[in-house]
Amino acid sequence: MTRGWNLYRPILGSLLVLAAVFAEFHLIASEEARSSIRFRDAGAPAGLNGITICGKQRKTSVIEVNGSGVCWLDYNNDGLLDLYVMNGGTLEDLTVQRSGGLSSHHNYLYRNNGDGTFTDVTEKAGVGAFRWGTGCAAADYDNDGLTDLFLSNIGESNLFRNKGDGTFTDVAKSAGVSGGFQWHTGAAFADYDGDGYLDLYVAAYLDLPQMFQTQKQCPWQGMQVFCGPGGLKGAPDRLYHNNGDGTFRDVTRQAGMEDHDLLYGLTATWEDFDNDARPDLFVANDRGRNYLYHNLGKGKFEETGETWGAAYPIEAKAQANMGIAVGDYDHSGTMDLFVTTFSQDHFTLYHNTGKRLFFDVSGETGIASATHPFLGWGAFFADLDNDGWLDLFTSNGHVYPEAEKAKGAMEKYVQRPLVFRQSTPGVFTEVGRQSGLAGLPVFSSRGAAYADFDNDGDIDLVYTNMDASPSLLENISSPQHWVTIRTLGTRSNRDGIGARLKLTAGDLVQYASVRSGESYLSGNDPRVHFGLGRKSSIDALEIRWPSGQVDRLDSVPFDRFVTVEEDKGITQVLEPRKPLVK
Amino acid sequence: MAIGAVAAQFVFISAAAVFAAQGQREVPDFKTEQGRAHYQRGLKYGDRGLWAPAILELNRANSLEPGNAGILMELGIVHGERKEWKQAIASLRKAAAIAPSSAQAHYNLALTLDRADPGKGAGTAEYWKALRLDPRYVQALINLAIDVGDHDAAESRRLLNRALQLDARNAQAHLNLALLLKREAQVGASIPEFRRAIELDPDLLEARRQLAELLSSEQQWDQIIEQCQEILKREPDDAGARYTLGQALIRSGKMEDGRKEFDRAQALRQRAQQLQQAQKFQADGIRELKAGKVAEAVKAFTAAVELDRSSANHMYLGIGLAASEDVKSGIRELTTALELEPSNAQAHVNLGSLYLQAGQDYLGKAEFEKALQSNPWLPEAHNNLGLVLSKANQPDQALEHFRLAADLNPQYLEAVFNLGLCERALGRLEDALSAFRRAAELAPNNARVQYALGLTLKDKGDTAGGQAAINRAARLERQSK
Repeated sequence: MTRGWNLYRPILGSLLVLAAVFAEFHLIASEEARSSIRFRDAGAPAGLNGITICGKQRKTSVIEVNGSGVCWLDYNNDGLLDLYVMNGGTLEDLTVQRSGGLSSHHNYLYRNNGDGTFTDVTEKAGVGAFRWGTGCAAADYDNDGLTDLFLSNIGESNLFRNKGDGTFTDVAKSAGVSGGFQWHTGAAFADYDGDGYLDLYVAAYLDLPQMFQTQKQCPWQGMQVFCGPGGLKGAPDRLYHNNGDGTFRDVTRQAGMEDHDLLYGLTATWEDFDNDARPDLFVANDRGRNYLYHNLGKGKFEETGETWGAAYPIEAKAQANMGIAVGDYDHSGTMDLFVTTFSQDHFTLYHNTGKRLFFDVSGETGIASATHPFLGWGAFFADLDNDGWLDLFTSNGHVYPEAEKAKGAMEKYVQRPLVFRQSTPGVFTEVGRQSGLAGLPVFSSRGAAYADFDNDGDIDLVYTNMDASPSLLENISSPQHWVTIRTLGTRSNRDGIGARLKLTAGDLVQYASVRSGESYLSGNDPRVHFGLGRKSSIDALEIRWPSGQVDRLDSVPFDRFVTVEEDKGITQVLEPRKPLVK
Repeated sequence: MAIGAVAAQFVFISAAAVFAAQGQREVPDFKTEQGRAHYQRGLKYGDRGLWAPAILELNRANSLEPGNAGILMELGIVHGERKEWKQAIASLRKAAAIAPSSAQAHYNLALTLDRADPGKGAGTAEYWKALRLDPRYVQALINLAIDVGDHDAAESRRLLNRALQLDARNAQAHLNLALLLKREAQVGASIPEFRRAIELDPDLLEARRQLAELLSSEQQWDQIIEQCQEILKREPDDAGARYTLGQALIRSGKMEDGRKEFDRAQALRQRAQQLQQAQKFQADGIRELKAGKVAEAVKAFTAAVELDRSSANHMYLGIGLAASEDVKSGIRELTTALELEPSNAQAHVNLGSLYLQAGQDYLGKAEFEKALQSNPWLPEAHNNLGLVLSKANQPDQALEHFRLAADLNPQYLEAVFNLGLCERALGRLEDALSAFRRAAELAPNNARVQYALGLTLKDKGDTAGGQAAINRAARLERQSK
């Protein structure tokens, strides 16, 4: 291990070269889609039986359509990723909640049994919440070695502190993050000021009181549907600073993050987009420009979405962005951005030049044309076939149950997920049907998150469905080499959230970060997974911790789960479990 | 005059479809030379975008020839330009009823229905009527294609193709066909249609925007830059075009140029947002002022000035301050408004009104005259100048101004009432009575109007009628107390 931070390879030493490469890839993209990615439906045998709802099946208000998220976390520190599933409610529930009561619906915590099954431990753990749940973010906010859970709700939020005995206690009010009776959406943790404690950003969607008034109808493709969010008043997002004593302080204004335009925030994600070792924040807004808050240091931010080119796609039209995926898909050392959006529009991939400038590459990467008919929510980059290149997943579903009845309709309420394999660097080919998803039941899906839940060395995934139980897909792709890194901070926050990892295996150089809160109102596996393809050795692993500490490890095993502790190096190596299905 | 092209947000194309405007004007027959003269003056004003005098002249023509469909049609069009949809539709319906075989009457009614209630295909039935009368009516074909496109893309396409058969050089038909093709994901077919629309009408910016969007998926960065630059030549404040230009420049390796365009786009968007917010404050202030909440109004107008130091915002702040009895500050703000925009006729009127309140009639008169130099058709300027002239014992001159004010805005109670008073002062009791009756229709519960009406009726010898009106006035006065 050596100290000192080696700067990542300068981003896009030559933009022109990159552009030329894209042009070449464009031709290759027309090849018939082949997929080395395979999934199987593991939901029913796994026992994830809880139905998630969002209002009634016939939608009369915008409040009934956005659905909810899902988070992976190891709440009992047994090395297996457990699953927390948010659940919505009904308008009647909300009226009860408004007067201080509890919803008749609850969220679900599923303990991973390690054999492909899960046990519902919601009641035992005390995390049902009984509020109209939207998003979740899992992190050890008090650095006690136990993963806690922040839940954003329509209504007051919950902060469930993990007591370490399999139970949680809600401390949102005393911690100062309950947020009042608001429509909270995406939450994300990061230590933006480098003090070793995780701070929290909570996005908000619509001003809630107006939702109790009579909802108007609006025309859509010749039909009358509920109105919104356009024309309705938005709600302000909030930044909470972690005081380090179990409490938080609302610092939105001091930080320069006041949501003046009250845009309809859905998902927020922290990431160091300009490689200045400070986490910036990206917020996907529905029907408005996206925010990109550049972290200026000293607790101050500047909103740079437009000036960095990530507020809108190239056609400069505000999209209805829902979910966010972050990843360095081209191995350039800078984190790129992907957002899902409404149908009859394209999902957008913003390429990060590393010079505080993004540009829209949705067209040439094959994403725009494939996504036009889909209404996307959850999204993530993950190396689904362990070939060393990030692939992309989106969960989809329309907001209008009657969508297919519209005259000339090209969209359906239920929509299949999309799996984009990065078939050639810089080109994404949609291979969902060839990846084992063709025969699966189709839902109107919302939040999505990945995790290697069976610890067999590949990325599995889960997504929530409207009025159905979640779908759990087990990855059964042909094995290739991989490594999964768990970061444990010492000077930094305990989870190592915000750590940037650079892994070198021969000519394969990959970059990844530890994050909490992304996709759509969801949280992925907190561990960092690298596919290695046929590389059977790892030359180096560099970790830049949020504290500024840089650890360089040169003997990292592959095909293993490796725990790295800040300033101590590798402290644990675990072998994978046997795959559940060959 | 012609109805201007409308850029309406149109669902089926998911972009701004462009309605075709009015075509050839049908010249109506006239029974009187006076009617013809007023009509022609109305058209001249309308062609110059001077809607107030156009309405004045057309109303005069209409009162001389009430059954003339041509006059009613133009009147409807002018009201439409002022977004006075109720009057516009009423005039156009009447025109279509009087002249059921006029394709143009049905067309204009259809277009106005579409504009009044966009996105719902409100004009469909009337377009069909126009096309039954004139199957070669290209504008009707285009607009009907837009109206039906939401439900029936095939029919929409058929109509647009028919329009292009009749007029291959119609840029709007090419643009709408391109939009339809784009909506149907026929990108390859839509690009040449956008190009053709631009070739035929280089100012069709929607076509340029759409084309730039499509070219991005083909990575035609140079062409995108060209389209954006053409848009920006015509609309330098188009933040969207600047952003797209920025993206395309970065893709072409011109990082710094691209960054500058992003910065400009953001500045433009922020400025536009500020102006929008200022407008909202201004509207809030006006509402508060009307509700008698003067302090709240001043607060809102002050906020508007902080965001946008425009002449209009200073003027409203001046009005608010004056209403809060801070006349000195009111005059200061109105003076600022006029320094910023010396031709702000409304500010002149308001400043003049403050002088009038302060008893400085000569200063007030000067301001009203300046207002009329800037806008000879401002009813309030005429009314107030009439008042000054009345006070100066110049009733003949005052009468002309009151009459003009009442004709320019037939709903303007004060002008109609003052006209009555002036007529009465000149001993023209019949005309005075007519004005007071108009005023009573406008404000049936106004005690002053009833009282003046009563006195004039008595003067005319209708003692019972006069007394009844005076009694009503007394009752209303008591009620108001």
